[in-house]
Amino acid sequence: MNPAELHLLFWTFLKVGLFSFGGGYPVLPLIATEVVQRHHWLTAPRFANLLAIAQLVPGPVLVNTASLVGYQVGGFSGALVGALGVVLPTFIIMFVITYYYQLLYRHPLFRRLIRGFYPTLVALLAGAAVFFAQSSPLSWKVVVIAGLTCGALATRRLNPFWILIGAAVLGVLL
Amino acid sequence: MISLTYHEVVERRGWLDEETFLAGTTLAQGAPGANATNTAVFVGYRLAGLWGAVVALTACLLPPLVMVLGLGLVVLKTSRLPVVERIFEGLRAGILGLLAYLLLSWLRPLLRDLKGVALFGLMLFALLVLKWHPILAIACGGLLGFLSGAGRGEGNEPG
Repeated sequence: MNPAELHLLFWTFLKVGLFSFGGGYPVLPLIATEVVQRHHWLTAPRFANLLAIAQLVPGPVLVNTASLVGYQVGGFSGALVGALGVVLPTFIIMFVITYYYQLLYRHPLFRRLIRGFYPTLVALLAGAAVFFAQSSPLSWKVVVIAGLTCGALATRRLNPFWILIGAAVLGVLL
Repeated sequence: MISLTYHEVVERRGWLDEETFLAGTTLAQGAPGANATNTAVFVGYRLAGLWGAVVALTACLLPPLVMVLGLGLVVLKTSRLPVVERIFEGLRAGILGLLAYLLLSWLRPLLRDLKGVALFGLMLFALLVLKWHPILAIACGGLLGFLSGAGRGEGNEPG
């Protein structure tokens, strides 16, 4: 891959990292907008597949997604550039926050800021769910597997990793 | 993930006291970025300054990076096989179920706050119908939430 595209990949994930409030799934609409709609690096189903891997592998979904998209776009150097891009702004911001943590932690305005973000984060999470629902045709098979997964998670007794493995097995069997 | 970090950092090694760790995780959730990496930066910086933060973050990211690349290579080579496509069909449906579950549990604390519900509806409309760029929604929604004092009932953030 040429340096110009690697450069673009870095800036794209730098932007994603800067606005990655909510950590994992609430950031998904932003990544999809940039990676699928704007730069056409991946198709929506392909991107959804990468997210499934990002969820299965241990580690933060956000960084896993960045390295997987980077890998698809530009091989190993793409993966490093994607991961570095998404981590760099969050590192700097968290570093500053940690430096001033005693001042910030109890400050009512900071608490109000975190609280005020919450409704938007839930809306972004809903946007992520809509993206996934649209990424493949909504057959009865998809509805059954999604319903079973949701129900299994609601019991809170099973490890999400094994629930997703179960969903993969059902995907082959049904 | 947070409970594992808590066990290692507070209970086993005694690097931080409970209150400091709790402050760190709260701030890590509020800041952009993944909770795990943000918490790593907090703990690393409290223990050993700038290089502590760099080391903690790198150590936290290296194992997943190696695994992601290994799996990515396998998937890229086998993605044309019909059985792999069926596996992914199941996985995508599973993630959809996971998102539905997360959405339900995130909505619950929101329902106690009428302003929060209104802001949620407004931002959902902006994202899905008006097709706003997510950064615009984050900026406007965050500002509106801050100014109106909207939010959620007390308690820890789920997820």
